[in-house]
Amino acid sequence: MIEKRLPSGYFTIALPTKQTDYLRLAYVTALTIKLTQPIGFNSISIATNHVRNAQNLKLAWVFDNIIEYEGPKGMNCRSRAYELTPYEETVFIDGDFLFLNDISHWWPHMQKHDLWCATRPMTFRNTTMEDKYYRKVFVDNNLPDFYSGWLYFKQSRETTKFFDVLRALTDYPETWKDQLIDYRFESIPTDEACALAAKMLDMVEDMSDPKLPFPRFTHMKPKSQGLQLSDDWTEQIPFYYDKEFNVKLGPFTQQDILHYTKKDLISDALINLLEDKVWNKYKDIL
Amino acid sequence: MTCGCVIFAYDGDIAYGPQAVLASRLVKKHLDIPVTLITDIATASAIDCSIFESMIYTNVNDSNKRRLAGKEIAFKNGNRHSVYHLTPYDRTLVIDSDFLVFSTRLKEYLNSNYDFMICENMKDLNPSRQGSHVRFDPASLDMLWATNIIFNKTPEVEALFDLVEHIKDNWRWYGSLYKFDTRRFRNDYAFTVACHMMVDFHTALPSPVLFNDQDQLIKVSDQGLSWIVGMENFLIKTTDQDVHMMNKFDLLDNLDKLTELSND
Repeated sequence: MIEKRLPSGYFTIALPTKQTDYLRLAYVTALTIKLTQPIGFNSISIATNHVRNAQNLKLAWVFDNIIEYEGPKGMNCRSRAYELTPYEETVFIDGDFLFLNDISHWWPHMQKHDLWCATRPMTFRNTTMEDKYYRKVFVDNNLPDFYSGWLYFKQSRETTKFFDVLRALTDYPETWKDQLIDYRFESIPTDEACALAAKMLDMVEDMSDPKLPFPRFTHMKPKSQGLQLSDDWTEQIPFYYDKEFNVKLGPFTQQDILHYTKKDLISDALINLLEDKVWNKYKDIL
Repeated sequence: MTCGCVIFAYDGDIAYGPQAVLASRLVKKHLDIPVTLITDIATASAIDCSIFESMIYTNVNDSNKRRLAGKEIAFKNGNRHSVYHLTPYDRTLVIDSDFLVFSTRLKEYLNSNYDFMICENMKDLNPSRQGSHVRFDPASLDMLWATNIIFNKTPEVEALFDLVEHIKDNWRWYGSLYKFDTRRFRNDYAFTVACHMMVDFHTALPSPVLFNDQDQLIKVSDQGLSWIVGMENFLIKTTDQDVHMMNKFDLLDNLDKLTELSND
């Protein structure tokens, strides 16, 4: 267990693969947090198996903590977030997020709870996502519509129970296989695992409110965007940003958080822009 | 506060003047508001203008073309944005000349306080058609319909109409940006983009019934209008319902009977 010596912040796990440099993506997420969130709400730490590479990033200080991690990979690693995080209060996030504006006002609401999970994915048109193409298991099994890409938790007995169950679900398939119907996976994905853990512990209403307009993020799963032609949304929707890092998808200005999912979206030019802006914001206070 | 209706009509390959006269008579009967016609001398000289409270003459230089019921039709629609400055009313209802009011439905919206209202949809009664939901492109905007607009004179609304003119003047550029077909100017597109640029500035008007240029009006009577709709020849009857009638040929063919319905 990592000592919880920081009060609150964002936390993600970055384990690069041959196909995807997740450290690079997490770095960009950290840059956007530093750029858009106010002091007190802009801390982010990562756990990675590439600590040296993380320390050698141009603005490595955007990570408040770089934690060495050599444990299970894939779906299983996320269930370790509770023990790995350096924060008393954590928002665990996916590594392919772009923070686009100040969302610090979400924190006080989440802090009233032990855990809080996103249930409000948005389309790039800024409408609530209604499509259930990727959610068949949720519908068939009456699971809460959780998106574990945003999971708030504080250190507490309830959270300990939740992560114990989550770890059991991800480590031991026999714990979920007789509880779900019509699934086609061998390892339970984290969204399904979180939803099932909450359901098993009767915590669904304690950690979500579908009526609340946040936490929310634009979730660029192509078929949920009404784009049936391709698995690559960038073939149909142009991605624009200006020098102030205002982001548009097609004609639609994006807000809050963009969960871009398309791993090669991040260009060197975008990283350079973000590094310049973050440096200019913090150079006088570092 | 004055309130009235404005209709645009410029005769081209189709006579829009007589349609405007009919539309005006129906507005007066069901909404009980004055009507102003924006037109040119040639169109006005071919109709009885006494139905209109006022006439405003402006020329539109640029002609447009469209296919209607299998025919290539020239028409003029390029000055809709000028209605903000031309209207004599504080609160204005703008309707297409092929929009026929058979109910008091719009009265409620005229009496509301919303500064700018426009249709988000039309209702297509043919279940086998995709309906009137038009998206410029899978990655772009859902089209609004400028068939009905209600607006107040405010600086924000003026900005919106100015923006429509700007979009018209830079049609190809906005077409490229928003991925719509630029072969002809459409007010629907220009208002859609302007509303989007002003961050969903509009309030939605209710969706009227749409009959497209393939639908045929086969009977007009006191009991309503009878239609044959679509390739499947659905038989549909409308009673006391506003209709957007895009088959101008049938509209003109049935003008006398429709006019009878506008009598008190």
